[in-house]
Amino acid sequence: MSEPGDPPDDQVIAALAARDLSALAVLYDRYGRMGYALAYRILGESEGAEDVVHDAFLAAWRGAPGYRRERGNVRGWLLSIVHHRAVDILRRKTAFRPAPLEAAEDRADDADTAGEAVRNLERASVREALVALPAAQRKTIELAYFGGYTQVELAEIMGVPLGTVKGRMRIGLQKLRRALEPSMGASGGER
Amino acid sequence: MNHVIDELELYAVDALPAVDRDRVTAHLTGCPACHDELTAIARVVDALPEAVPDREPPARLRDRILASARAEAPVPAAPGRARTPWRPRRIAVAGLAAAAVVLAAVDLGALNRLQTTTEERNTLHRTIADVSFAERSWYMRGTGEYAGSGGTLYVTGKTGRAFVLFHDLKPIEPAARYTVWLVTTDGQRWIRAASFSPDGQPNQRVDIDAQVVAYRRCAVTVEAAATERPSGLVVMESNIGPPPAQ
Repeated sequence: MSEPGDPPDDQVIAALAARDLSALAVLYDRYGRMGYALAYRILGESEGAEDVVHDAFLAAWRGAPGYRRERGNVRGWLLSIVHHRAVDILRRKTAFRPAPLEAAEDRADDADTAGEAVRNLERASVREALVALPAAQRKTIELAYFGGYTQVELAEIMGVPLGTVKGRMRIGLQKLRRALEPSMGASGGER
Repeated sequence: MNHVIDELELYAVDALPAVDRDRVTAHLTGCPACHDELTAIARVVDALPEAVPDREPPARLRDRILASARAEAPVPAAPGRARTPWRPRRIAVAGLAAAAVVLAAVDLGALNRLQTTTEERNTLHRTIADVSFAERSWYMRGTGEYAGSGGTLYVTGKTGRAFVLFHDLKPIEPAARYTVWLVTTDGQRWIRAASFSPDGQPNQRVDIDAQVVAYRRCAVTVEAAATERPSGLVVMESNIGPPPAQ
């Protein structure tokens, strides 16, 4: 985690674009842990998660000159790269994917999601907001974001029309947005 | 204009089929209203990783990332001078000019060494350029007694050129060869893509003369001698191929 006086993310990205390796180290120290946790959550295994984070930070290293602040903050940009790559790998392993609903239940209900002590209030608020959603909306969001399922797969495994998937996703995210708005500046904000 | 508002949530969580994703992406470039809405949705989606339980990455991961980036890094700028975006031609010309200045004052042995250095530098610059344009890549981790070594298979978007950038290759017997294989989609045929000896450098580039995305897997074996059939130990491998059909 960064300390007061550490360079803001925009400054770190500018240094990264200038091919400053120490900037890459700073970026990793800030977001490597969260990126790894996200990749592990999606893939469920450490070697793949490590490769995803490695590739994501290298992509950031190469792509820093093209980073545009108006498209999102650095944290969101990096984690979206991690997410995209992890989901890409998961989809390639279709044959090895566990049955979706069972997997979703296991993952959603075990200690790794609900019971573990939270690091800080921002994390707690996101979890609480997710848990507070109606089960169908929460599952739709979790299966899509953490499970890597496409909209057609979601409709199939949940046994609902495509329009219902879209509706659950939209309403669920809107509720999350309202619940998180007070803390959004901290949890999704820029350093 | 047909807006894409009702697809933005699924777009933000990457749950749209490729054809729809591309259509939404194209629309967003010319529609500020949809773009603003996506930005608001993306802020919520970006918060989702906060719900994931904390997990400590392996300690080696940080060093591995920095080592890979260092392998791609260009020659550092001189201290005190503003750094500018890397341009292959500028560096190549600068390198040759510097070599020419030095050549005026050195003996023939030094000349040979400088020529070698220039060739290595040009190879390095070509690799950097190719990596910069790489569209897809797969990392192959060394296993067993080859742990610590590895290689990244790159495919460049513009030319389809493929190569593997190996790192920390272990020494092997003088007659032995590292051999790169491409495995067909049915898993039945192993096509030899390259065969080489380690050059002792931290990084080694090996070019692949094949359309690698037509294959399912890339594997590296250590063979006792040059061969067209794999019989040695598989020391690193990765699944490869086209993106999954949506």
